[in-house]
Amino acid sequence: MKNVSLYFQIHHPFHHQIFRFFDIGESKSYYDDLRIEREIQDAVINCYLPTNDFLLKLIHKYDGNLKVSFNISDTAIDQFLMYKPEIFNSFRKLADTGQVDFTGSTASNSIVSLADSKNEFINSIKVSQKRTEYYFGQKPTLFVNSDLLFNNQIAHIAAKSGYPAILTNGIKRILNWRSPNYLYCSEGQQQIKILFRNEKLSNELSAILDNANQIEAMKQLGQFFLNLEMIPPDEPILNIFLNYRLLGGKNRIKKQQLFRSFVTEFFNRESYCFNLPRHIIEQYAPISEIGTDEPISWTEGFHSSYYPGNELQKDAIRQLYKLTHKLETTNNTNLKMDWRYLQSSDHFHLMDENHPDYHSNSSESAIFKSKYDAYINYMNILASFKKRLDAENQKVSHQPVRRLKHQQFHEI
Amino acid sequence: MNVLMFGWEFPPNISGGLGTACYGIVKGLSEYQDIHVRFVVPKSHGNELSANNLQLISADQISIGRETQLIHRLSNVSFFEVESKLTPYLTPEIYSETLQKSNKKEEITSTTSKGTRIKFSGKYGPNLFDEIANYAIVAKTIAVENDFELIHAHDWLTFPAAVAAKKISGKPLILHVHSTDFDRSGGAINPKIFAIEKQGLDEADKIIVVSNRIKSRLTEQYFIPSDKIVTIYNGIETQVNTEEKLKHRTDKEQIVTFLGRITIQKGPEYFVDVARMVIQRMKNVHFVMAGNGELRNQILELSVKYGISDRFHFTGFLNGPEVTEMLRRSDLFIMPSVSEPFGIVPLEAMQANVPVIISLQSGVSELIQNVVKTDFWDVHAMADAVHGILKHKRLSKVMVEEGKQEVSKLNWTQPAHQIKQVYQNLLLNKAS
Repeated sequence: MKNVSLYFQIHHPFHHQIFRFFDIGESKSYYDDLRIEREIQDAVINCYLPTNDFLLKLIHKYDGNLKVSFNISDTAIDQFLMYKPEIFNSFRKLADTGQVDFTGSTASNSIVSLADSKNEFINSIKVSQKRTEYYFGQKPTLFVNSDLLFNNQIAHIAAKSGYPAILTNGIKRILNWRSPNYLYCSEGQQQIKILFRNEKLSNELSAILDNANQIEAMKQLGQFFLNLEMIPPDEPILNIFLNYRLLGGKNRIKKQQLFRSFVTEFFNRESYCFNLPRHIIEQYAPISEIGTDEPISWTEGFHSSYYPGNELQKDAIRQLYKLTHKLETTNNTNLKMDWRYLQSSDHFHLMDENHPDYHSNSSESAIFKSKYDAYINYMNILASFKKRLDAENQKVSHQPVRRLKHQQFHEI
Repeated sequence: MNVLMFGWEFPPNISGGLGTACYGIVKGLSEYQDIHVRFVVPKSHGNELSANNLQLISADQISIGRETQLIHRLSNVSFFEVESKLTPYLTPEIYSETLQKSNKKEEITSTTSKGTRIKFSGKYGPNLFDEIANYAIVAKTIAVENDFELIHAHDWLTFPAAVAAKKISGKPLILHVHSTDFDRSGGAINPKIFAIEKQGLDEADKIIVVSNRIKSRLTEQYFIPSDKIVTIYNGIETQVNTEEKLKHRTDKEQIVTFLGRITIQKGPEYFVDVARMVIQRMKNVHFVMAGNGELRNQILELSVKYGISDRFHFTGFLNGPEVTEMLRRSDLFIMPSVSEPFGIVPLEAMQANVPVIISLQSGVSELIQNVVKTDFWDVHAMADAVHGILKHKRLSKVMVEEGKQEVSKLNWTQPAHQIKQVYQNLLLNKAS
């Protein structure tokens, strides 16, 4: 029996707006609120709400055989709360079927796992754990780090924070000759299991769902199943990690039809079933230990040299975490919230010359023209943040006012 | 194959980027044993740089008049015999001054036993149009006296000569456009120059441009079909002496440099604006305008008005070694050009280990990645980049390292190869 585990990722970052050095120390917001709201409204209305309904019907139709997991980033949760809170009902309905898992991550899709301070990382995991439980009614059992970042240290901390399993990207650098289609456990820490995203199948299915040409997509789907057959029969676990937006958007109906064909075809084959990670880790025993000290990761849409990163990324990350100790003394919720958002990995992706923003001409939303622009902008924001932090720490009452809405959510 | 090439200047006797580019092209082509270039300039000074398979022809050494028997056969050749003292880089004020100075007309021909020779200055002087027309007369003689399969000419000054050579020889004509009058004048074009450009471009069999920016300029403003145009980006001579960057007197003082003619095309007023904004916020930053031009006094007045004259400096015109020294002392180079057909100076700055900011309105911005690009009018973005690069040592270090690596690949080998392809395709088309 082959267990296919489908993961849908939902992530919306808090995009920064253009922040000039003249703005350092001024009360200008760091965030491009218009763009953030536009994107989240569009995603929820045109994708998440209708697709959740579609998925719910499909789950009922197959009577408990269709199972999927959701990995919803912490910043996406924030944005749902701010702009479209009704989406939670929709996700709760899915959760109530018992066929849907919600995985845990870090607060604000952050790169905190790379920071020196382990406490910060643990706190970040705890925040995400608590919030996932609060909003979706499930205690997460699988840890999906931002960008699927993984190394031995990260596995260790995930285990310490109460996770029995972690998902990461099945790339050659860690697997070598081994197959991603097994359950592994971490080197020297057998209590934490490791699941690998099957890179090939995930990319193929993404391409199929993204193909606007229906006929061609159906052909590709046929090929996809042929490829599935090629996998040796004793490899039991296939983790397919997809962006949830692939099931919605402009050609929603067509995409849903395509997904339905995928599911129908899937159930026509006897040797396959859908499964959830929380069941997989109970049903299977790890086949061997595996581990790496060099972080591995995955970024959607481009191959990033992000970890350990280029000079600019390294510098920005170092400058960011230099401020850690200054945060310890403050209780200002505005500052804490900005601090969390500053750690989102998306800002650092933009400091990579391979970022799609710098290659496709069609990207209207791209506000930076090069990684240098992105770095300069981020460093300006960081400088401004540091100024506020210093002022706060000197007990000078100088606090730019931010949306009050945010604060309430973060106090949960 | 033999190529008859028309230029206006040749290193080291240059006043702009055109001569440097011509030299790079000729040198790149000289790598091919089967290409022989005859390069024609109005006046040679005898000290020109040399290359393999290159023969330099000086138009003022050519005797005309012996081939008159040919001229009547080609009555459809027309020349631009314009009696004018207008030049492309002059404003009306300066023009009237020069007019008063040069009332005495010089003798332009000298007759010897071998025939009549025309004198050329080879500069961009007040009787430029006369020289262009005369150049075309001599070009005919050269075209008759030499064997060649192709004509290749650089920029509008040589277009009439090249067209004349084409008419008399019937050989295919390639025009190489390094800039158009729209770029040089900031939009206020000289109709006479436009006419010369348009006529030449219409006659050409193939047009090489230095950027897609110029390509769209030619299709939109000169109505040239785009399939006649091919973009070949300029290269840059590989710098041999890569000595370490000179440390300043004190580490604290930082220098931001503008290098080029102080004319409307180069966007100097944006540079002052940027300087004003940065100086308000940062200490120990100095802005230097290296170069000269008709807007210099206006820019000076602006800097005084903004109260930044203590940190805003002018160097006047710099020669080759002085440019190198200026770049070596710079911490940042900005080219805020309003319209730059290509722009070789940013590449020189990158070679000299200087981080670079360029406007998106430059041809070179299509080619290079490891620089900061902004719109020329977006002085806020530019000032922000200046601040960012000066403030974050790591950023400037990365830009210098990656920029240097990038620019080291941009030699003349690739452009020369592409030019050779154009030659071959054109000859094949002619033959079939």
